[in-house]
Amino acid sequence: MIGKGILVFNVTDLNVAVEEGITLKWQGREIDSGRLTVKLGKPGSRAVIDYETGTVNVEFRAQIAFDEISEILDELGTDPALTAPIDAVIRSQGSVFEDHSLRLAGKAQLADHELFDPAQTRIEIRAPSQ
Amino acid sequence: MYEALLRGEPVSWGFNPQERRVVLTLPECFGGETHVLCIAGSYTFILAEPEEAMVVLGKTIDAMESAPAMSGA
Repeated sequence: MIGKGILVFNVTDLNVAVEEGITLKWQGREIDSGRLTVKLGKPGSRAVIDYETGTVNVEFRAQIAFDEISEILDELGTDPALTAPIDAVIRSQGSVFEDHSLRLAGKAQLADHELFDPAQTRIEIRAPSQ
Repeated sequence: MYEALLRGEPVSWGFNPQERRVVLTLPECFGGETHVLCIAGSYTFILAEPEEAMVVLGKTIDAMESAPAMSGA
């Protein structure tokens, strides 16, 4: 525990990439999604650090995008709603340590999307191992 | 880092790009498979203005007060 009270922060940047991409199975074909990126979306991303209890709560209002495949589909004239980024709220919680490293884990709640049904699509962020 | 945050400076944390931290389950239309993925990049915090912080903390307290009481079981 650090013991310095409760502070509120605005999340001013989120810039994350999954470079390896994933395989999407679509109508009998396997498609490489290419890079997947996560950036800040709608305003209101915030964090609360309670230094008395050593706990952190963060809400990232994010946009998840399949940049490469979206670009290809856009060029082919696909309905933009299909290739639009996915709006998500990622709620993470965890611990703050003496060196001010954060150990966060959480889940994403997805907004409605033409392709990524929020009832079937799940995103979980595991805590770091160290 | 704490002092920098108190001074209102932006502070960033990075992800270890070697660590598989994201578990993604695709919808049925894309096969429904689950992937465990590495993420690279960072996020940045900056101290909120006091008025803004009070609003956020007020909402947090309201949510705690309206939550159902925990049973002792």
